[in-house]
Amino acid sequence: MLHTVNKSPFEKNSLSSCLRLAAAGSDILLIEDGVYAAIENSEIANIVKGALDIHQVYVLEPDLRARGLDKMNLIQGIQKVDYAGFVSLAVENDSVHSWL
Amino acid sequence: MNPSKTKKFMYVCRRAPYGTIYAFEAMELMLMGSAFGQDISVAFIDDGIYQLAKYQDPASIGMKQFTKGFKALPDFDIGKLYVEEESLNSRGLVKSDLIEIPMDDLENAIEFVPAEKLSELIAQQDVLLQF
Repeated sequence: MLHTVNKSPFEKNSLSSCLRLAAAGSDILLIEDGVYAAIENSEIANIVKGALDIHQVYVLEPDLRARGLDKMNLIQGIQKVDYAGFVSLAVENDSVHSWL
Repeated sequence: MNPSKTKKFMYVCRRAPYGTIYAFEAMELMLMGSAFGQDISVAFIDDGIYQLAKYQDPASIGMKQFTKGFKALPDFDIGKLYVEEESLNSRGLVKSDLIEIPMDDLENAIEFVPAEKLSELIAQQDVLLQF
């Protein structure tokens, strides 16, 4: 299953609920304001790093670039994908769960 | 109250720039509201600090970079701009991750303040508008 998260982790608990409930091995894709979770050294960076042990975590590159984050220090291990990569993830997984 | 008395207005920006319309609406109001000759300041707290991130390029998501308007605020006599340090630190950002807004002799009109100082500034306001 692919889980997408589109809210800032500092404003909504969408990411924390996703990480609590997503099965180990499922894919997580950060999109829209969800991409703020990918910044290194934030107060939630360790939680995201913990998720990397049991999930593949992806971040949508155009959303990073829009917000000026692509030139910031991001958490290692999070993989950037473009729109085509987003489509591939959606196709490869049997279902998509959007955390709003 | 004397209607001609200048009031202290503070815009409090708490939202990230592109995921919702709040930040855009606040920008519109700041530029329009400055015409009324009030004493205006702007505080960026919580996710609002992301509005000042350098290198934004929202063409990648088909949106306009309305945040360029912040550079124009001094031209609209809005030169008191505050960023709360706690909000910056908790998000893993540093001062150099944000744009600079030159004004008159100042290299940067943005002042980085701790919550304690911002609390005092908020207490001094006549009108607070939060977005």
